[in-house]
Amino acid sequence: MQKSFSKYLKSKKPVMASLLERLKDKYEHVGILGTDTLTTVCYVDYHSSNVGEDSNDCGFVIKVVHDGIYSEYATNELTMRRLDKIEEKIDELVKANMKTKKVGLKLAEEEKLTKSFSRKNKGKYLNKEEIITALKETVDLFKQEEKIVHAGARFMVEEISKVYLSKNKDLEQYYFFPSAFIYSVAADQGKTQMFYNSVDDISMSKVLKELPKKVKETASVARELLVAENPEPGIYDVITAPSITGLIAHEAFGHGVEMDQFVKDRALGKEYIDKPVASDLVSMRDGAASCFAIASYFFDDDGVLAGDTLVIDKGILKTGISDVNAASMLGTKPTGNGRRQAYDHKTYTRMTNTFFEPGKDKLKDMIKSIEDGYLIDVTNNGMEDPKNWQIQCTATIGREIKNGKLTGKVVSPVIMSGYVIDLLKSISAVSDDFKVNSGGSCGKGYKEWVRVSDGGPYLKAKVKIG
Amino acid sequence: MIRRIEKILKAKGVDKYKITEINEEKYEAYYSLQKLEATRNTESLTYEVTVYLALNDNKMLGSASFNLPYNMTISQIEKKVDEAIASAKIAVAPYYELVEGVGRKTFKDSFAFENPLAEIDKVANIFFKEASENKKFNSLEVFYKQLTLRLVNSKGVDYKKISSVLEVEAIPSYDGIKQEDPSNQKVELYKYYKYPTLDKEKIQKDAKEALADVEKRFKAKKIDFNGNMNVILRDSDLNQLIGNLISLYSYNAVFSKATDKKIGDVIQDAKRGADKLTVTLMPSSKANRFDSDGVLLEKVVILDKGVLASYFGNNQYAQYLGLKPTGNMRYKKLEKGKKTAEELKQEPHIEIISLSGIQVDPYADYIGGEVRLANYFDGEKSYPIFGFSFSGSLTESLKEITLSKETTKATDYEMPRYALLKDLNIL
Repeated sequence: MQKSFSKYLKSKKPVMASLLERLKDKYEHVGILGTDTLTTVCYVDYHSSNVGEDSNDCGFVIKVVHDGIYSEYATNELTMRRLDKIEEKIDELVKANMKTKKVGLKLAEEEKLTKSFSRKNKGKYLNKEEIITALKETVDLFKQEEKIVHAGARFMVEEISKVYLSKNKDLEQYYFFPSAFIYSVAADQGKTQMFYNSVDDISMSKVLKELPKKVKETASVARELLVAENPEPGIYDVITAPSITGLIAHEAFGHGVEMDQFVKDRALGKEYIDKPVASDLVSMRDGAASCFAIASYFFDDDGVLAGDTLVIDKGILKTGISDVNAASMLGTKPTGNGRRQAYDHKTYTRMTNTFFEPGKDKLKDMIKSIEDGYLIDVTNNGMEDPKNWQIQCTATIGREIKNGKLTGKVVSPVIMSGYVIDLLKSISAVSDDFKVNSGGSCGKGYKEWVRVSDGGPYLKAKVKIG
Repeated sequence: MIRRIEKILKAKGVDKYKITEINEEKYEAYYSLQKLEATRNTESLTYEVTVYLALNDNKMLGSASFNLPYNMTISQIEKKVDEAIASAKIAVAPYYELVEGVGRKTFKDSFAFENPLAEIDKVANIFFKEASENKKFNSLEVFYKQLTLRLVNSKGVDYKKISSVLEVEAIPSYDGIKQEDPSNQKVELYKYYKYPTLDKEKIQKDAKEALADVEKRFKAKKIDFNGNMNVILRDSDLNQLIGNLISLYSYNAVFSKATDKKIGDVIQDAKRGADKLTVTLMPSSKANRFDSDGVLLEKVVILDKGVLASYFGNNQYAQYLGLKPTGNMRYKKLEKGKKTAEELKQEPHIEIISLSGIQVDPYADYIGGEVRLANYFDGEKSYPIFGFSFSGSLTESLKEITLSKETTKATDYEMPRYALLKDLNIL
């Protein structure tokens, strides 16, 4: 583990500065991002354990704006000796024989800012031996659980260091995020099922302390899934647990307000700004600074400080989220949502921590109000359609509610689909609970994966389950 | 560099190891509303190293891996190796042997562009040339990647693959006037293409089809019935169905008891008249002939006429089960059926063109998804529909599956062009 800002990036800053000096008068805008992400992974299951490090997101990307477009050269070898070669590579990119008409990009002048940010582990740093021992103890607890034939636990620490240098900006950030994941495989009478759970926190010790507490629930739900039936297709009153509430926020309106899609005329949302899109009980936010979770960075990959965007205010769509390019094309202010999968990928407008705000209702009253429906929990996957506002959200488990009571019967999987506005306008109660889950990854289409969180309270809504 | 790493490992007493050298060059161009937005070039050279330690009289094998994400000094690499040795002593698995190599081998399947960005721009313009006032590509991203990967281990594996691919993400869009349904006046679809060679005719055909599909999406009507209907799946949706179905039979899944099916068990209890599934895994190209452990890949039949013929998977779990490693392969071939497409489509059915994402859960015995575009044939005529979902039991669907005689090929599968599933619920 690095435990503080990357020494490697620190050593490369003079090289980045020299490169910036060479390029800054040659192009309308030059920005250089350096990243050093180290992910340490420890894994234990019934039979084996392993330890690994992944540091593939370690490199530099140089962005230059010229002639109404931008070009980027990315490399993992930035040395004083290579600067001539790198400059040559950028010149080649700029001079490439591209016949297609250009979009006419012109970036706004960046504000002057020099700042360094850091968020370290809270409490003691644990070594790999301590982590493996704790994971083994957790996995051993599954061996006492009925019908559990296999189980595993994975602990992951992400340490992210980034430098952003441009004519007006000199930013550094280091942040640390520990998380863990457990799963169990239940088997009985020729049927097999799997269930997983996750824990995250700012403290390594706390994550490992919380993990064993999740074992009973993880085993119990895996057993419940063994006898789960597929739900009867139909329209139901449902209560979404925070995991599914977050999935809806993410798929229904998170993707729908990514403003690079506004530029490409790919999102219906741009025609609905200041119009009602949801029940007036609904307010939704996105931002790296909106709460503490996996996507809580200090500045984005464009060097824009983390934001907190109120996307929906009491049912009215207020604004979208954006990266620098999209904001420039639309004439708006960037919101700190420019993210890359890694240094060798492009920046897009991406979600960070996305959630519905809590309301005033009590979960028990919400359950009581349902005659025939489900309490839906545990995100499996989802798919967006910002252009036509169709939505598909898959939950792992649905708990049957009949006459205001949970019956104990479970169904799986629960695939909800329909028209986004119908779903959001059907929200008739919002609980006073609030939970954000950091276990997710989000793609743009089917690629460009970044870590995100989502969540919120329990919601009561009417949905199509098919 | 590989020799330098090997020298350091040996000096530290490590006699079991695996080193992967990954050399990548990528060129990319991004288009917004058919105008150029950005160009990119990436060059990277990285190394992945795994250190193995035999422990407890060869009963256990410790392992730990790390990356060299940039050109490190000898002392930096030594430090990484020391840390990995310490980690391998605490991260252990039942003993298994590393893959034995057959010496140096090179597998090549690549094509080169003299001026990659100019060629990429020409590819983009093949798409744009097919556009018209109402039908165009609101977003287009074109990627050309060249990869040289070399895998070396301590037991004689020294294999290299040189490959290249051209990929296109296209968003065909249609803008029209639809007063009865204002939220569907502007519509789009998602398309992703992988081309193993620069085949301009194929690219042009794909561009035309993408625009024809999105026009159908504009003309599509919301479906106005519920109930059961035969559903036709095709292309990547069928590939995903087959992939999910056989995922239960990997060595890892079997060892982890995620399945209790034995070789020779009937997986698909096909009814009379249905096509019995025969699925083969095979290398996806002339370059992809070894997996990440160095297992040389050969085709292996997983399902033979609906019966489990073989498990598949990596070296470690194969040895735990006492079986021969097949290696990890993604390319799937599903044998064709007996009926022609015309025969398959005689009865009323829904032919799915675009889904949000097919949902196949073999554990929960579920198949379904939200449909973005489909053709509905009511027995007399065919018209495009959208805005519904389909669902049903995976086991029951497979009992009566019918596959077309016509086949289709992509970079990761070869499948019948159409698969008909009976009586799925439409909502």
